[in-house]
Amino acid sequence: MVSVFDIEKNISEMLESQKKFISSLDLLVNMGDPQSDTTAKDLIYQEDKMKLYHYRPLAKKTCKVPTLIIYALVNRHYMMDLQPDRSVIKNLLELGLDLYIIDWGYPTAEDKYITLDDYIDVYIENAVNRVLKESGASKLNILGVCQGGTFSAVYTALNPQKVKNLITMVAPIDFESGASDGLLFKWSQNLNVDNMVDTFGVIPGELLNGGFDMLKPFQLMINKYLGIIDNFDDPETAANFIRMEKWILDSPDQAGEAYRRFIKDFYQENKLVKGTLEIGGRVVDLEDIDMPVLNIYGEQDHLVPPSATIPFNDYISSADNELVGFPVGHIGMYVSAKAQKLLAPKIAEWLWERDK
Amino acid sequence: MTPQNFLGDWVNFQQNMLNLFQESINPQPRSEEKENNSSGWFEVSMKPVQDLMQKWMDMSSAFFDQSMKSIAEAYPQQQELVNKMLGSVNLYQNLKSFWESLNTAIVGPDSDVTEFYDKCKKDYVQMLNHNILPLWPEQVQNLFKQSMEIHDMAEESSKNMFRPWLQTANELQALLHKSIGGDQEAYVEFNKLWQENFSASFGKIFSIPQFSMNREMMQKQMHSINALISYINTMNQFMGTMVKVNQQTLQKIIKEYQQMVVAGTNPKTYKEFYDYWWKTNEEAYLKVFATPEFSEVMGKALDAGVNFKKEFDGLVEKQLEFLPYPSRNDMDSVYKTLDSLKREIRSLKKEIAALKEGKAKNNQSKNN
Repeated sequence: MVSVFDIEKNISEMLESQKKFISSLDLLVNMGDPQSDTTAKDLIYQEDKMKLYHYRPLAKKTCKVPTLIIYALVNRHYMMDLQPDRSVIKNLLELGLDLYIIDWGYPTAEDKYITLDDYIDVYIENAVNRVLKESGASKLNILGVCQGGTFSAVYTALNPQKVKNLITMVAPIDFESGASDGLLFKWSQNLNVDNMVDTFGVIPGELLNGGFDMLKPFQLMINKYLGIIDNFDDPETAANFIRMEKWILDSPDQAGEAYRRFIKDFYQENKLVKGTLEIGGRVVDLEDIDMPVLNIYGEQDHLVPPSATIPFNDYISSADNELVGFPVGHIGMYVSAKAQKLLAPKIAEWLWERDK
Repeated sequence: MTPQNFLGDWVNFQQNMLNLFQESINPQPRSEEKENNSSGWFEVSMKPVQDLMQKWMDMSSAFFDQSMKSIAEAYPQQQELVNKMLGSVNLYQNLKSFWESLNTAIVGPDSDVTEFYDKCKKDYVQMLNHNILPLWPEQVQNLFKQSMEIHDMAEESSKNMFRPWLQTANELQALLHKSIGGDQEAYVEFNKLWQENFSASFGKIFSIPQFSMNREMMQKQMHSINALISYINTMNQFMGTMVKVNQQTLQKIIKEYQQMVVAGTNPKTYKEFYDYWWKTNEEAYLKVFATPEFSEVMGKALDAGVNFKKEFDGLVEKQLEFLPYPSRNDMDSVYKTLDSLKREIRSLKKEIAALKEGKAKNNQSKNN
């Protein structure tokens, strides 16, 4: 009888896996705690739990116009500086950008009443003013990432006079289009967000993480951990895995009132592109964005599908606008070797060209 | 009508009766009956008699009705007596109608007489109210009326409770049988229907306002139990959907793997098989996750979980309120105050900054 298995190869693979498993255990025991967010920076402003940092320059010559990075509320900003050898921040600094970043912190029960208006009109507004004061510039560049990109678009539309160049990265803008292939966008339609916010006050980050894991259930809940055995023969790979794991599970709770409006106004009613979104009593009109815009998306992004990001360029009035797709997913945008070679150089080059 | 008219009617009736009697003694067969008398001669021969009997009955009935009405009009002081007499006749006629309808409803051993029974029950009560009740003394009438009302109310109330279950009993049973046989879709539908029935019947019991000193605590307990039942049921629907995908994918994998083995293209190592397994599974799940149905069931499950948390939190807070610690509700009040104060300070700071700026400009212009 002929076996349906390649017995020799099978046994060889299993033995190899056992060896790797034992060595991975050994490696984990002696690994310590791999650090992220290690690029040097200084705290220059704080308001409630929001902190504004200024990165120390790494290039001899830096852009005249400072760049403020606005990250999402749902994960931590240090994804941009996850590991020393693959840090978007470090690369951008080395390419001469003058970088500032907002750290939203971890909302607690007392922050349940913080609204979307507070995030845009108070925290971002005050951070922008502080960057302008600190740098002495009259305008700044904004690099908005993921949900932070959506916030950046909203802020820029309301305050175009303060923004010289706008870069949005994997930022959801058209939530109705996103619902065609984005699971989060589909599921949000049936979310009773009022009940959630009224019950929880601040929405637990773990709850949201459960939803993110379901976007790729086998890859994220099973496969990823099995992969450890195969990949833990190299200490640096193992350390990077731990960094990534720490980041993925480092999900801050969400200020309830802001979360309520974000789900309702953006996911469920798509108000931003409909021109019906109001922040602080002002209507947000994307056509008021008239400065140069670079819109970056991940071609394989499963969290924020290209269908939700690409339309942004159609809603703005900027004559100088560019759309760039990278062959990576949402997270790969920050950490993949492919993106590391392309992303930071593209951003830096684009900003330098407009640094006048 | 006057007594004179009554006498006229009486004479006419006597005349008609006489004519009918004569015809019954000496029937005149019709032409077609003469031609078709080769078979069923007995039925044919009896037909005139039957017709006559029917006419007789109709005539008597009409006469009786008319007579009673005439008497009632001629002698208004006897109105009550006449009414009772008329009621008795109606009773008799109604029973005949019942008997005829019963014969129509029962056409075989499988006849569904439920509807007929319900109608009869209603008619019967109506008949009692209209025909028997007026014959009784007034006090007894009131007692009877009230008893009937209580009976109706109790019946209606229990009907409301059981109606959803009775109406869907067959469907529920069929779905349960399918579920036991491993049909996950039926399991999901069973849970869905069960939940609908529960909410429309026993679920209402948990929302009954409570009384007495422990009213609030009891109410919170009832609401928590109700929310938990709802959550468990909704989670059953959610998990049923997931298990269904799992089972279908397992079947697919087994079938495909069999085909691959036959073709010699099957994974040759366990690692290869594992890769094939998780990719096939993930693809199947993602396909289901993208459907509006899944989105709906997921939203419901989450909402039911949140509802249970809300109710249970309230219950726990109530149970622990005697302890010397602030509850979440107490803290919320503090947070709200803090939030308001923060906003006020922010606003005042802005005003101060504007005033300072204005003052600085004034000073500058003065200096210039």
